[in-house]
Amino acid sequence: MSRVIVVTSGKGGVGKTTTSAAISTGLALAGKKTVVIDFDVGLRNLDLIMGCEKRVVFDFINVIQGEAKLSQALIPDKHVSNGKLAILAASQTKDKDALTKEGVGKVIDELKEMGYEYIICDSPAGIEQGALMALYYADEAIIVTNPEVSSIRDSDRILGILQSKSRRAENGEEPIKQHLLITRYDPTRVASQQMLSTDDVLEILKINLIGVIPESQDIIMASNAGAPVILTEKSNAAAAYQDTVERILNPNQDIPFRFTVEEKKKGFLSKLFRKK
Amino acid sequence: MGVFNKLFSKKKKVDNTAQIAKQRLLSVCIAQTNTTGEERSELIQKIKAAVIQVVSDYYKTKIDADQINVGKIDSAEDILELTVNLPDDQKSEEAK
Repeated sequence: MSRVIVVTSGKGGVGKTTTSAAISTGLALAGKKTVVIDFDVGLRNLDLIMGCEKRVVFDFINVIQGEAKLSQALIPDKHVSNGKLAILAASQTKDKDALTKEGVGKVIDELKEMGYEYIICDSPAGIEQGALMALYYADEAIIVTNPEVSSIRDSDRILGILQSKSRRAENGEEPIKQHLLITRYDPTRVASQQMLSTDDVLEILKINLIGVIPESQDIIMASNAGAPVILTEKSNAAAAYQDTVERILNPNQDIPFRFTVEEKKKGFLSKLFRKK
Repeated sequence: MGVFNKLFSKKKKVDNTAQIAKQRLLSVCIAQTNTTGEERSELIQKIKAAVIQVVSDYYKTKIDADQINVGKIDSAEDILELTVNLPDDQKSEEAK
């Protein structure tokens, strides 16, 4: 059975595409046949983060408009050697209105028929056509939020839209499962009361927490290199994304949240006399 | 910066802004749509009490919570509509 998951936020620049890339790569590494779709028509970036920008020949809109077959537009990922991950890029030139309900539904149905277990929809920022289409067919939503006022307010707005504008809401079906992913979390600033804590954010948004990604320089380095950050070795951000993937795969398992508490700095003496 | 400055300079005072942010968010977010029925009911009672207070500042006759109807605007999923039924005689008296 396929799970359609939208990665959304409302606000731009919070890490939706980084998250889509990391999670889809993690799911594929776990052996799940996964496809990640860029819904940001006109401003695509997923291809850059996934490092496949030079291999985009046909895109999502070409498929919707019947100019290419879906199999021609799917780009096999090169980082995951088991062949379980494909990317469907957005068009860089066409109008976002080209994303029609019928067209998107047809592509998602075809992906399900092709045996994709996870269909990850990378939503654009905002609440216009691209974002609405990205969430319309979703079974689950990952709402990406920075612990910062404007990001949380926009996430709150997106929660309202998920509850009213999705296919599940329109058909009166079971609501979309909503998960919160907090990115750019800095436990040191939280400890000094300069940043909202995970509890603060949860108290406001009142949805299930699926991951906390610490602020990390590895993320920009990974996007510079065109490799999803989850592949970075010895990285806290990669480990936190890995934990998030585990929670998606095993929703009933209790996986502790790491990197949410300030690490105590070692004193001069303990540094001097530490055992190697 | 010299060694003495580094040793004896005062640390920059940092404001604790997280709680301010939280309070501001709580006042603007519509996360009430995600609250439980009990919490929502409590919130509506608080809003009604605030409306009664405002009305009492402008009208002589007091109104009670039953005179405030709670509804939702059909076209918007997150707008709460409160209608206050004022007594007719009071309205005409104020009009004079």
